[in-house]
Amino acid sequence: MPSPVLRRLRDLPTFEMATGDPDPRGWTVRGGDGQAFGTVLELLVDPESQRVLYLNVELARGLPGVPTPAPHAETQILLPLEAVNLDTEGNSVFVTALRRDTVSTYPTFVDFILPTEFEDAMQRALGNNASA
Amino acid sequence: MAELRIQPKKPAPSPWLLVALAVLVLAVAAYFYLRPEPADEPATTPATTAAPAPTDTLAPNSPAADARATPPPGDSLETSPPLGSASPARVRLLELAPQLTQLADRADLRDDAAIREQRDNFTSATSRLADNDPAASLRPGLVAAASLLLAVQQKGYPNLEAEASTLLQQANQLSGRDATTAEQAQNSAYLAQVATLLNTLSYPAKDIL
Repeated sequence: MPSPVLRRLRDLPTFEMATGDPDPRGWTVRGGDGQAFGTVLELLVDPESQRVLYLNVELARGLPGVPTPAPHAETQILLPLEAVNLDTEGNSVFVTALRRDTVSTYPTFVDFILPTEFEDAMQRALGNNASA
Repeated sequence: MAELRIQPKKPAPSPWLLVALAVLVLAVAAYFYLRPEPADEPATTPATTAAPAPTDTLAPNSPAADARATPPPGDSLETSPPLGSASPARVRLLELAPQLTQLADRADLRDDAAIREQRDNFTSATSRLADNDPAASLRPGLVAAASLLLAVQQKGYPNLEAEASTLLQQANQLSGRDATTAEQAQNSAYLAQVATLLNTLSYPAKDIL
């Protein structure tokens, strides 16, 4: 099965969130313990299937074990949408497989390139052995 | 497990279409706000044209002045009004015309078909008088005034039926001439009753016992 072509939603001016679906950009990302550790920065979508596949999350500064990024830079991660739960009332994204003190083990997203190894590393960190 | 979908954006309406719609709405609003009120038109026309009526501009003994007397059939030169002077009944009727048309154009009355018809009849009769139409007779205006008041009475003043009916009977008995002293007195008395009933009808029906 060929890998989908991922695009940032902001780069697709002819697309918008489907009617009735929330736009989680700007929502707080919380771990399994409810502690916040980041904010949804952008959505990575597959224009062909018209689905959001990943949340591009900016990690908060000062997280344990996460190197402090350079000034005017931020540490980003990608969260597969199937690994999160959306709290539309609280405008929060819950990731039960991660916590504030363990997010440092999660692979950071440094470029808008998604090699297969990166996808595998994400799945391993989330406790899934099978590749997506 | 969350699921989020995206969709192609719906095409937004052209901004020019919105501008055209806004202009259209403004034009319609301006038309309704700026158009002259129907009640104003007939009220001003007789008032402006009635003004010169008391002063006669026609030369004495001119053909126009002779024709203006408009004697009804059987009328003779002896019974015609003096040349060069407007008859008092004509002047008084033209004075009452704006008030009568304003009454007929009142918001609660103007939509009535009978009132509208009588108002048109009255306007037609008095405009010919106001224009110094030599063929115009006084009688149609006098009768039309009573008919208009009767129509107004029937629309909203049931307790004034006797007065309005009597007035119309009086109007039908008038000769239309205003030459002799007796005729002038008869016309004057009739027009005084028209003015009285007109004044009464100018109040809302609920205020009249």
